[in-house]
Amino acid sequence: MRIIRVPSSASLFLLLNWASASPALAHAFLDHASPRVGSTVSQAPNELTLSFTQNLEPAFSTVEVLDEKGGKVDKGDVQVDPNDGALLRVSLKSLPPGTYKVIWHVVSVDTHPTEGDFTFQVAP
Amino acid sequence: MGFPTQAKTTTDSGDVQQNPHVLGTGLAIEYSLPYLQASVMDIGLRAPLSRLIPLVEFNFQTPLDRGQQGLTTGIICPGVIWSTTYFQIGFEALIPANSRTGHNVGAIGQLHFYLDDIFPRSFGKPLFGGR
Repeated sequence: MRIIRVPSSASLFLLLNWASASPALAHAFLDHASPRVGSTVSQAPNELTLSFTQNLEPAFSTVEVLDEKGGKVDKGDVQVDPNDGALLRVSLKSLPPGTYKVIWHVVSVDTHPTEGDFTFQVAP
Repeated sequence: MGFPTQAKTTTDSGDVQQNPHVLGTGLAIEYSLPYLQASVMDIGLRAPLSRLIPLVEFNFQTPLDRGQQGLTTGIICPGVIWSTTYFQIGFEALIPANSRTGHNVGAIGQLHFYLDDIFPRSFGKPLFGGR
């Protein structure tokens, strides 16, 4: 006698998920930044770029750069690079020597939010 | 704390085994290289090294009563986790902390899938609000 096995609802659910999961997306974590995380640069940068592990949702992805007194030193023109959906850019004001804190909040295109911060220094 | 449902258990051969209350204690020390790279200092590590999380776990069990109080056993588990976007793999050695625990070194592995990242439209989708 031939036996036909019917997949359980759990395995069927996983199968359907697998079939509908392409392309898979995920949390966006910071991969690298310019200026680099924790670095000291000799020349003040005029732009900060953050490269993430996943593409970002522009409307919900922000970054701000603060000086040692908490004053905002970015120009507020945060944008996701039109040619690289995982790259966040913001222009910077003229930065005197000092320590600067970068605070980022992003949402990947599948709605997973992540956040973080780091510092960099501009040498005298 | 471990609370036994029976004070003692009698086996088929007639032996009586005492079941004490057990205090479980543990500690894990880990160093996240991904966090170092993203939030402290980019030291130039690239994959796969930039995804490593070395760790040491300590697990101890101390019976509190029924003739076994103070007879602590435990294991020390040095290991490493390698975390990617969609899964993580971990390996640890299991080293007896004292002679009462045993004399041989074991090992344990773990494969952990991030289901909300692999299936963002089902497991990873918000139940309320959002898009």
